Amino acid sequence: MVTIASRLPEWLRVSTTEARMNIPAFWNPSSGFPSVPNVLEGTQWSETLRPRVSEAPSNHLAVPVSLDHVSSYQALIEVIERIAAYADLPDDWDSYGGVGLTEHARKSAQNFVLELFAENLLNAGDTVDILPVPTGGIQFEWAGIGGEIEVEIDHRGDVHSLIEHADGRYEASSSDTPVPWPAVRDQIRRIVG
Amino acid sequence: MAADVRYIGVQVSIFYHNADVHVFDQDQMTDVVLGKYLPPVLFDGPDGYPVRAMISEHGNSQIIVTSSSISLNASFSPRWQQQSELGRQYVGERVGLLFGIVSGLRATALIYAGTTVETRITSTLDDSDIARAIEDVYGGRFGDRLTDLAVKASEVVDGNDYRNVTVHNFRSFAAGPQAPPQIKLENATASERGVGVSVDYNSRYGYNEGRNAPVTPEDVSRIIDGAFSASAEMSRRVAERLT
Repeated sequence: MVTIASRLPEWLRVSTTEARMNIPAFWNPSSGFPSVPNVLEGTQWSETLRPRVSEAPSNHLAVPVSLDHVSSYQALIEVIERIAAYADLPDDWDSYGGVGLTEHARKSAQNFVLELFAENLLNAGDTVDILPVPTGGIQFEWAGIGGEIEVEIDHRGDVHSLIEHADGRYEASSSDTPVPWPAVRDQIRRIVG
Repeated sequence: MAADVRYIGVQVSIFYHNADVHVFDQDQMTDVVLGKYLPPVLFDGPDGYPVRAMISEHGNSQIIVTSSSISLNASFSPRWQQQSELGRQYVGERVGLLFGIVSGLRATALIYAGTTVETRITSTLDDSDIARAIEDVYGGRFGDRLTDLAVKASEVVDGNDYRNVTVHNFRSFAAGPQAPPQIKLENATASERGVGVSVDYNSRYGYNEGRNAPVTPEDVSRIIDGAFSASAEMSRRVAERLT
């Protein structure tokens, strides 16, 4: 399948299961909240060596539920950060006149990923590649046992899909007719299994 | 010149008795957080109990709602890390939001609240000198082979609040999030080292001792102030010793 990924600089071609992307210095708007690199702190204990019995000190806040290890939730946060970063892309970010995500595309993408999360389609095991589209949209790509699917949210916020089935057949939605959420959800499910 | 203090993140939590996360009105809550957070998502937490979460548009801030607590978590950008007043203002402006959400949960009673503030002071000193800086703050003596040191002190403030301050040295390594235990973490390769200051300021003492102090937006603001104040004071004392 021909994708736009090959046209992107290497630092944009990362997936949610990889370490957070290394945002270049120019892409660090003062108003934004860029990701921080993953770090491993301390040297004494590995995760598996921590005591199984925890203390319950009476003087601390009882730590609210930690969601650090809820992988789908962490993936959701990373995708939302990615969408925000793409919205902050400077003009001509790709040297070909590309623009960042439009407000319509951003809102639509946020709703789209919330739907993905609710349908358990944002698990770390189901790698999704997320790329900015130079015309102000954003693209999500999955590959699975059923083939590959690209879901593009265009600058108007409309959703389109392109599927390459495992048997080599292509299936593309009409550029004039957006694909509604239930249909695109079912398409993704057929691909990732 | 004192080393730079970075404010990494803040958490503001309110605890209550047995709220029902399922009665949460999705549309109402979406309206409450509109413009600041995306609509809530519902999922099972690691303990199997339901969790509602709202994520800010940049992903740096989240509101987590469970049957026993609501928490605002915020991590700060590099620019905000240098200006604690921005972080203080940010969480302060969202206190009303937390109470607005709690009001829709039919919580039977708000029981206590608290704020944690995390700061970091990085240093080019070696591990033992960094640990000595902590030692110096507390006037302790832990021997000549000291490489790591963590000190936690808790105080009761005004007969109602706990002020917990933990000071520890840290080393960070640019390893992946799931680094296996076999990976070598050679001291010299640490990407960053320094001292972390964690402040946990909360009104749990009053609750524990049956004082039944109210938990109001004003109380939560007071607690946030207490946490930031304690964090600034301890971070300054450490930073002065990490020149």
